[in-house]
Amino acid sequence: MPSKSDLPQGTLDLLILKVVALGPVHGYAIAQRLQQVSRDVVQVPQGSLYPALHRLENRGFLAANWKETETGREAKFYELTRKGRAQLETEAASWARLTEAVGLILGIAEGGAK
Amino acid sequence: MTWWQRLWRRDQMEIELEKEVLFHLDHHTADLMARGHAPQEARRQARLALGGPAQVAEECRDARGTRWAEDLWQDFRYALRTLRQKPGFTAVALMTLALGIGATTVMFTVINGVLLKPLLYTDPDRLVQVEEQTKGQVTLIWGDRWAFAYPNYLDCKRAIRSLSLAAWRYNRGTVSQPGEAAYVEGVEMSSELFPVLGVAPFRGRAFVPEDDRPGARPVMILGYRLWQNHFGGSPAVIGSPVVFDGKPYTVIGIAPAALRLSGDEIDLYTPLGQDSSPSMQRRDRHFGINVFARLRAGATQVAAQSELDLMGARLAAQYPESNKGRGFIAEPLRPEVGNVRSVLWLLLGAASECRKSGFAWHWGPSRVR
Repeated sequence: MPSKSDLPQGTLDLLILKVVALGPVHGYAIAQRLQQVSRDVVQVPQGSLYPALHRLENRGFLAANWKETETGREAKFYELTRKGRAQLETEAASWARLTEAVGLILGIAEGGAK
Repeated sequence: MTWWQRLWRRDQMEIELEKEVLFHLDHHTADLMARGHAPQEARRQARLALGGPAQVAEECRDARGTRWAEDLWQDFRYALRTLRQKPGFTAVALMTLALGIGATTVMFTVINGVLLKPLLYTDPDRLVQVEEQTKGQVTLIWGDRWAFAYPNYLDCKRAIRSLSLAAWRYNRGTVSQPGEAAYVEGVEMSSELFPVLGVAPFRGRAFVPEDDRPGARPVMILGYRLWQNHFGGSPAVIGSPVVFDGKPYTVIGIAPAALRLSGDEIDLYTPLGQDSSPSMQRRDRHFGINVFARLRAGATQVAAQSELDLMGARLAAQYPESNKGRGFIAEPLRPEVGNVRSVLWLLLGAASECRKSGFAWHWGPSRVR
C-alpha cells in the first residue's frame, strides 16, 4: 500500500467546496468522501476539517442546517451558497492553471534531457 | 450571520459545536467497529484521527472570528469579580483615578488657555465677557449662565456707557465653491468684534456697520488657515465669490493668522446682523450669542457691572414675559493668572503622575493571574 500524501497548503478549502457542491453533506461524510474519492492517497487532516468548515461558513461560502440523518440522528449538514459556488469556480480555475503550468515545466525538463 | 450574531448566540453555538464533534466521533467509531475493531480501541482510534476533540473545538472557536470579544468579556468579568471582592481597594483606586483625571483635565484646560494658546488681542486685560444670568433656569454644566438674546444685546450695546460691546455666534457649515466642499468652523459676528478685540484684518477690510444689517450685501472674511489651505493663500480671493451653506458671499478680507474666539481657529466670518432666522428677533431665546466687550477708557469693571445690573432691571420691567429674573454679568475674558507659568506646568505634571499611579494601582494587580 503506497504511503499517504499530505495535502498541499490551501487545497483543503477547495476540496471541501467541491464535495459540498455535490449536495448537502455533514462533516464526517465529507471526510469519508475525500478519502474514498482520492482512493486513500490523500490524508485528510480531520483535525483541520472542522475549523475549515466553520471558517468557510463564517465567510458565507457555506450554509449549515441541522437535519436528521438516515440513522435518525441530528447532524449539521453543509451546503454551498451562491457565493461559495463562485469561490469554488475561481479556486478550481486557479488550481487548474497552476497544475497545467507545473505540468508544462516538468514536460520541458524531460524534453531537454532527450 | 454577522459576527455579533455569532457572539450573541455563543452558548447555542457551543452546544452545536459539541454535538457536531460528537456526531463525527460516534460515526467514525461505528465504522471502525464494523471493520472489526473492539469498541474501546475503535473509540481511541477515532479520537486520535480527529486530533483531540477539545483542540478541534478550540480551533473552531477561533475560526468563528468572535474570539477577541469573548476574551474581552471574560477579562471584564474577571476584573469586576476581583474588584467586588476588595471594596476598600476598589474605592481607593477609583477615587485616585477620578481625582487624577479631574485634576489633569483642569490643569490642561488652564494651561491650554493661558500658556499654549494665549489670546492675540490688544490689551487683553481690558476685555470682558458678558453673559445672561437667569434665576431658576440652572443647568449642570453652565449653571445660571446663558447666551444672549439678540434684542437684549442690541439694547445693552446702545445703553451701556462703560463698555463697547461686540457679539458673535458659531455658524458651522459647508463651503461648496470654489474647490472641493469643506465643512468649516464659521462665525457670525457683529461689525464691532474686530475693533473691540483690537485686531485688524491681515488683508482687505473688516466689517462696517453697513454690512451688519438685514438685507445688506452678503460679505465674508476668511480665516487665515482656510485661506491658506483652501485658497492657496492667493490675494486674488478678495472680491471673489464663495458659496457657504448654499449662499454666495463676496470675500472682503482675511483675518489675522491663528485668530481664535474660544477653542479653535475660525475659518470664516459673516455679518451677524444679516442672520434672518426668526430666533434673532426673540427676546425669550438664548440664541447662542456670545458677547465680548472692552472697558472704555477710564471705566472699571465694577462700574460696568453696576450699569449692567441697572440694564437688567430695566429690561425685566419693560419685558417681564421674557426678561423676568434675567440679568447680565461681566467677567474678565482672560483668566487672571499672573506670572505662574512654572507653577502651572509643575501642577500638570503632578496631576498626571497622580492619574498614572491610579491606573497602575487599578490594573497592576488584577492583570496578574
